[in-house]
Amino acid sequence: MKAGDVNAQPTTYESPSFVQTAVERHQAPLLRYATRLLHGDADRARDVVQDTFVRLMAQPPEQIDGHVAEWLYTVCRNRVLDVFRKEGRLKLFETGQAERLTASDPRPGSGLEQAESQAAMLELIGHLPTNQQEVIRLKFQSGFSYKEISRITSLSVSNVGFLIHTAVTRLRREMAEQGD
Amino acid sequence: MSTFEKISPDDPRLTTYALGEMEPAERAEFEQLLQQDETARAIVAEITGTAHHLGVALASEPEPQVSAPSFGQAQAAIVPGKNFRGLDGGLDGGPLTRGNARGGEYAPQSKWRRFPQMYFAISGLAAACFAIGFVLWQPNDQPQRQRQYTEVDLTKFGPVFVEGGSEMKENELAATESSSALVANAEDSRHVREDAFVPVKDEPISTFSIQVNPAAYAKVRRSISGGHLPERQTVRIEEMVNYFPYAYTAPTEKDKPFAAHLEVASAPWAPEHRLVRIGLKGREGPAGGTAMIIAKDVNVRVEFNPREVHSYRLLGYENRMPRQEDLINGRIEAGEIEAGHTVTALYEVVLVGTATPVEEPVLAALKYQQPTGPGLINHPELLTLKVRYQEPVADVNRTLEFALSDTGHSFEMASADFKFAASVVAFGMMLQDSPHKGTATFATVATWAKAGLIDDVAGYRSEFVGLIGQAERLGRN
Repeated sequence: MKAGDVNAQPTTYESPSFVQTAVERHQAPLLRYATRLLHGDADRARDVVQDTFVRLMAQPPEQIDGHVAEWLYTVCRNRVLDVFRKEGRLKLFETGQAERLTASDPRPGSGLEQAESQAAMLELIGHLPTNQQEVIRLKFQSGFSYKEISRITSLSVSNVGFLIHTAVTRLRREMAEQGD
Repeated sequence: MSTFEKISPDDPRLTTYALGEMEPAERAEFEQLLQQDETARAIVAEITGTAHHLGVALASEPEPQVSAPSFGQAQAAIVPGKNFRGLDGGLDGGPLTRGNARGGEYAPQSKWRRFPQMYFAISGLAAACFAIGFVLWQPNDQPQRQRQYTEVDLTKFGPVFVEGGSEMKENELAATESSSALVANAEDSRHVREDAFVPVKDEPISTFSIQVNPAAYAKVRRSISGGHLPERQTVRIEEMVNYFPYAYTAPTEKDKPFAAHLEVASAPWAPEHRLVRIGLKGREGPAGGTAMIIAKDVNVRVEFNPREVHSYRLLGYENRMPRQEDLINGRIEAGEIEAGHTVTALYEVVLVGTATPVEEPVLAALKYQQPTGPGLINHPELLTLKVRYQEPVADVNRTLEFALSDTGHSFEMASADFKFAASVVAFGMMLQDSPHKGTATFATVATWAKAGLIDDVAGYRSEFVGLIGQAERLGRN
């Protein structure tokens, strides 16, 4: 590939790729997020995510430009809550089962050891209470700030801080124990 | 004996601080507490380490495969839907539009949800609709963007295509953009330019944190993927650089907990400057054991040789520059280091006798200074890296020293890891619109990154190259 290749057609924020890019890039992570909230129900998660993107289509872009991801996660989460509400489950995390989708298949890392350590960490995360898992993922997987997580989850910022601290403290201790 | 109150290990502020989530005022206050509380400082360091580990582990978690073809169509259908905002003042489109035009509250499920097959039909129709719309839309793109407003009236089971739409001028666009940026990103208002060149005669010693949370890269990636360039102040070069794995070998000598991988070559964005890469790699632990502490009270100092180096700047670490005296005394951020820990820091260096950085006028006389400048033939020593630490069990201070000589390598001669790390730095500077970005453009940054596409087992690096292309298309040059 030549140097000039990335120099395709410079476009602007208002290019039609806005929503398309959002779908391309957020669909998979959003699906992962929704699947976890829905305790591993991938079909229902796909419905919820589709619904979320259809709603994105209906949004005035200038209202959500700059925080598309936060918007998507917020709407997606509310859709999940709707699903639960319909099924008569009162709270998002009522069942509390620690669903695990992945830890078995870590991406190849730079070494076996690293992959093992990552798998161990994922395993431990899978045993956290579900509300802690959610904020941990929003923070360390999706890169949201405390404030953004607070808006997505409708928790207070200090509540988010408490959950993350509790989870990190526990993980730190458990990883140390494994290391011994 | 303590005359102050210890910070409880259960205090969530420890994590808030370690993750850089603390507001500036509270942060200053909390740092005062930390200075008196060694235990709390150690906990902060451990939290930072765990946070790094968490970020890396969660990044390795596979995303679900997205294959549903209906979604591919939906994407095409969504393209013109960028403008699905209803006509100005006309929110009486489909139920979908009405339900969502009010931010915040999200409407209950509309009819199509109960009949999923409708979705496919609509996708198809909307896709066709887009094809027409796109043809109409293209020629009007310049100079004023003419928008097509498209609505799908779901109650009528088909799309209604509305031509024309209103026009929006560049400055109006800019205005709406910046207002939403305000909403989106009130989170980081404490940005200060701290990336200027520092003369060695003023500050011969520099230091950097060995604990870097790689979360900022995920944020940058998410932002670009979401169709907009990240806010400048959220771009953290050191976090981006440290997101990627590098092929640093661990120390081989038993008594050394760290190996240093120092390299110097031309800075690709400013070939008259040298770029120094410092890679530090901790001793590996036994397989499976991940949290083994290999050293504690670790801090790192870089001492520049004033005979060779005129000035330098640490790339990244803005906003979080610890006070030099604190670090030198090991009072802040001196933490425990786990087995296998890796950190990378880069310095852009101006050699004695070469052109001085932009902020100082270049004197013609420098031409005659060249011969007395860095004699590249002699491989002069540019700097010495000093890693001070204590063995985990014994409270004895030890120091490892690593000197770096300049062999005069051009950028092309540098290692793949070096080239890649340089490209990440340059990308960060582009996104920050840094005055130091020199000749870097998204295109050249991509070239440098591709030169570093070696041992990319996890695909992180090629993903990065893709990200550069996306950023270029979003355009802020």
